[in-house]
Amino acid sequence: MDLTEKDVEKLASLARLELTPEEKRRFAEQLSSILDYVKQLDDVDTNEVGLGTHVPPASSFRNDDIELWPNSQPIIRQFPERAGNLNKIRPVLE
Amino acid sequence: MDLNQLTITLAHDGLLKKEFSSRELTQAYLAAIKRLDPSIHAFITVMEEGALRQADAADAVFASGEATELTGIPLAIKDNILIDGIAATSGSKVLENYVATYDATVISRLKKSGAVFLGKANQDEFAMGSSTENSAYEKTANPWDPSRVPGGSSGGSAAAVAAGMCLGALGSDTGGSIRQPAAFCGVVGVKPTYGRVSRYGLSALASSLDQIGPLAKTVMDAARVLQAISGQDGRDPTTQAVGDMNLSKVTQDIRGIKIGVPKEYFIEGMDPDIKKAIDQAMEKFQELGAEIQEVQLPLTKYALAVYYLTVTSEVSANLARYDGIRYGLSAHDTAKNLAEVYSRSREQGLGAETKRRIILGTYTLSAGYYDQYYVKAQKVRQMIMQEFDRVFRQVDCLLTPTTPSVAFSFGEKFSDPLMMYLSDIYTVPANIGGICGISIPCGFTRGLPIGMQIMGKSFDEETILRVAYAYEQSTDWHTRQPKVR
Repeated sequence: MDLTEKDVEKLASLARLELTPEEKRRFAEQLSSILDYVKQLDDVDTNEVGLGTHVPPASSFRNDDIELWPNSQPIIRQFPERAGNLNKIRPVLE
Repeated sequence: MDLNQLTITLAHDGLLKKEFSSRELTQAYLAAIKRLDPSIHAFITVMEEGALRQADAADAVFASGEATELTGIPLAIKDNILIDGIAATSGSKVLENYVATYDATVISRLKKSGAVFLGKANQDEFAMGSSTENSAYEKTANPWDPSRVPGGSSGGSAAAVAAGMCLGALGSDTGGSIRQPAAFCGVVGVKPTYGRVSRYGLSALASSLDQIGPLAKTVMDAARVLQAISGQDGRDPTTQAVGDMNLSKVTQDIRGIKIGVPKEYFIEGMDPDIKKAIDQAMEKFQELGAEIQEVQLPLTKYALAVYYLTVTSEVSANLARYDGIRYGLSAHDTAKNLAEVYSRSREQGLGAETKRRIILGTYTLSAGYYDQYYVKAQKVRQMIMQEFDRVFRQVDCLLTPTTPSVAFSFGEKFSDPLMMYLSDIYTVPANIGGICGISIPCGFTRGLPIGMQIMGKSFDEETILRVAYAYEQSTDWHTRQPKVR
């Protein structure tokens, strides 16, 4: 399975990730070799296998109750840009 | 008495008998960090002031007679585990300025037991790596040979224990990240069963695989730390109500215990000295009255492929949160719109291995490829779990090497991700199966430690600890210590 630099570029944009031309080239090569490696799973017959759960089922459900966070200032202080207690972000649409 | 040569068990005795105070003990470890860490680089953050404050509180608890086995015991904590008010970078530049705003559940449990936190240990970025070379901050040296890696991703934790800069440590293990560095550094490391330890407050890597666990100098030390951090937690719904381990079972003899040896773990290309060490361990187990049985796990060869498809898929989702909006590195001042804030912050903040895995995971989860890669991997994962179930009906635990090679040199595998991944080939199956595993020292070659892995049934940590303890009591590998300059 070969991933092209163009594929990598497309995936990077889906993942909201800027890459340098050098990264695109290198990743295309490295990811192709990893995809070749995982191709061996095609040898396993999984026709009889359901998806099931691969881990024990969640055991400790709790109500989705709102808890007041005791000290929100340390969280607010870490906003990259803020206006008072509000987190300020760039415009979604230009 | 050299306080830096102690174990948790011996230090607890000394504290009880008032041979030294917790403050003196903590000071000795802080001094060791000052002396040794400029060459080892195991710590990203040293918490000198906080540690001394905790040590004084521990001394007061001893005076009141309510001390636990961990009261006043100085520990190192992997940087991806949150301690309220302390920087938590997870080895990533994207979290360079991030300060944790709450305690992980394992941290609140350790605080309750009176443990002392010396600092935050270096790791591969977001726990992705097998050498700690993916840390954005520093390269941690193996205390046995500073030209070699300590393993990873919990390399700082393992090196700190091995070099005598702490009495024990917490790491996290998604595919071997506790056991592999434990093997490379000659210490004990436990990956608990999925669901024994809460991950609340751990930076998530792959949530269906991640577990927090202890690294220590002895099996009993690791068991005590594991006991303290275990238990159901409403904040991590995957934790199970299985109750405490009975640590008195750990010291029982192992007569009649059936140990399975899967031949699939003795692959071509593994270091022959490691093979020899495991053979000698088998003889030792027989002397101790255990029964060795060859077993078959034919799907083992697919575990690594299943692992990388599962991890990258989960990584691409879990790491979406590092987007420059709420905390951490943000490119907001140079971006003209929101989309650019995301992509630039991630470009500037994330390292090569992280980006590589995000891209691969985005691919394996994308329309048209989801069934071929992610779903296929989950189906094979089911089959691997069933294979473990089957084999654990024949034997009580499994004995394998922890790694196919001893600690490698810096740079040796860095440029070839697949080569790096192969160093986890013996450890990933336990994460895929959700079972427990321990690595303990079982020999040396060319001056470097060899690790042996014992895997056990889900929630049967008592058996693997017991088997490991019996071996440790009849050998002296764990007493050897590196000469760090």
